[in-house]
Amino acid sequence: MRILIFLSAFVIASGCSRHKAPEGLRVVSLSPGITEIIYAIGAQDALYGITSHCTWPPEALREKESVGDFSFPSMEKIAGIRPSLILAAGDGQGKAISHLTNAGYNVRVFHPADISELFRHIIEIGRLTGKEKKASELVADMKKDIRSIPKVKNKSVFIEVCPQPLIAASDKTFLSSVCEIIGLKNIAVFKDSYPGVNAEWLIRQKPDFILLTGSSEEEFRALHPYIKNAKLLRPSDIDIIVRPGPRITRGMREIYYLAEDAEKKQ
Amino acid sequence: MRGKKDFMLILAGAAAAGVFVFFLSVCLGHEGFGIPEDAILRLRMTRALCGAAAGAALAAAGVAYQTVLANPLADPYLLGSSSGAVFGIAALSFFGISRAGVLFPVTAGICSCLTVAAVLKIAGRSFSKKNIILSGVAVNFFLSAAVIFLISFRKKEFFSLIYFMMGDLGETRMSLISASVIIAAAGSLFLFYKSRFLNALAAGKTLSRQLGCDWKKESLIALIAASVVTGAAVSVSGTIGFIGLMAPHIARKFTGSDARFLLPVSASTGAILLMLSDLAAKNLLFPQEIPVGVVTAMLGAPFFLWIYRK
Repeated sequence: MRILIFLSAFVIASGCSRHKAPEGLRVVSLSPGITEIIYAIGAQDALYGITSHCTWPPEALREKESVGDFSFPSMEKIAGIRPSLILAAGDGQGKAISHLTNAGYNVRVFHPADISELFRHIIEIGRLTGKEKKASELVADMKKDIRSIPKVKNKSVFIEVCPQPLIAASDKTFLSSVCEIIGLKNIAVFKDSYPGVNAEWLIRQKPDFILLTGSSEEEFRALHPYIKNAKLLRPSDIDIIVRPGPRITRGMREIYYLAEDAEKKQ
Repeated sequence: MRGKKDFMLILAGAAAAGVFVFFLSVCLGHEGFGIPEDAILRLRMTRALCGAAAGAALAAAGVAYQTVLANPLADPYLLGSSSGAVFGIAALSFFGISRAGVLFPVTAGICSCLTVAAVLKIAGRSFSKKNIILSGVAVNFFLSAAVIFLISFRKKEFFSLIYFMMGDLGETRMSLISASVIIAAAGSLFLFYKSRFLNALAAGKTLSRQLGCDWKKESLIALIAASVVTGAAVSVSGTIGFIGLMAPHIARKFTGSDARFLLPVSASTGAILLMLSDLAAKNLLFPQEIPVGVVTAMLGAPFFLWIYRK
């Protein structure tokens, strides 16, 4: 019996030490997706700075200091936080990242190309913040969730980022890979991640769906009255589909149901 | 000396060329030449209409500015008139007003008038050629910075407005297009109606008085009309530079400086230049697009230097 108590105490103690954040860890997150991951794995105590775009969970903006914009964060505010680790998203942050790296900060860029890379990033963020167990639980939950989402059959999609000028999210983006999983094939095959495209091209490509992330249905219809056949999908909350974070599974589910509803309406 | 008949022939030729380029803009695409399917046909027609209207309006405004200020380098872009119009539009966007209807071309026109007034005031009484262009450039810089400052508050429209500042003919909202086209056409026709006075103004301050023309009043009217026309053009096309500079100079080669002929031929030339530039902007990197203002600036900046050295 004593041995049992001793053993369980050992396990608990070792477990605690394994799940404790590394001493003196001060993290600044420059990406809303990463902030969501940090909260989801319970590592928020090590988080000292976020961007003004980190709106989820709602308490993040209340509890943590904002270092400003996603692309142009305030270098002075970051310096004031004295971070030991800065986590960035990469896309659209090139200048800030190079300034921070040149200033000698430890900057890690997490720019997942697809969902499996996102899982690896969650595990890695878990490792960096001493929350490996919670991180692998989160990944397992997300995998299970994704398996339960039904798939659309052989449909094509155009992912709109900005209505005018018309900008697409190409097949090189995370969002595109997420759509692919639920059976929506992206028609925008380009070298760039976010190419500006011609409306004529879009009319000719005849996608089954247009996933709107930069405008409402009314706005898009007003700006592009000649694009008629494609069904518009506008998620209620854009953040859950564009942020590579723990809520992406909800986003995928929503895209699926929007597509299914649009099909039924036909 | 050319006779009236020759002028009529030139006018007819310019109009025919305009119609031909319009037809070309509609039928020529990445896939080749031919009548495209309905949706694309409508899209191309709207775009060609915007290009033709904006090009003609900017050219007509360019003729008026060049004549009144006796400055061959004057153009809605270099005078700051276009930037003023964009500032007006950015201010409306700042207050969350969506880009449609009469409000946009009217506000753009008013802001454009005020900007030209400011530029002329800064340039001083002498209206020297360099002073006007330099103060135009300074005001341009100031207004561009002000526009970027304004739209920094509205992140959602930031990219659209930056693109708009580089010139974009992708506008499809019919209420805005029709309001702008009507205002631009009315203003240009008014300038044409005033072309006799423009001719008198071209003769200079003293001589125009001897010709029985109230120099101050007529100059003011022509400048206001040109600025309103610029505002209307800018509200559909964004800032498109150098069309108002190039078109009058090209047209002058054929018609001489009689405003009665120079104005319509310039307008037609402006329309042709802008439609051709847009054809290039649309198709060079298809399906990606280059802002049409980039194409016109690539053509126009060397042209400007050439006129400047002459």
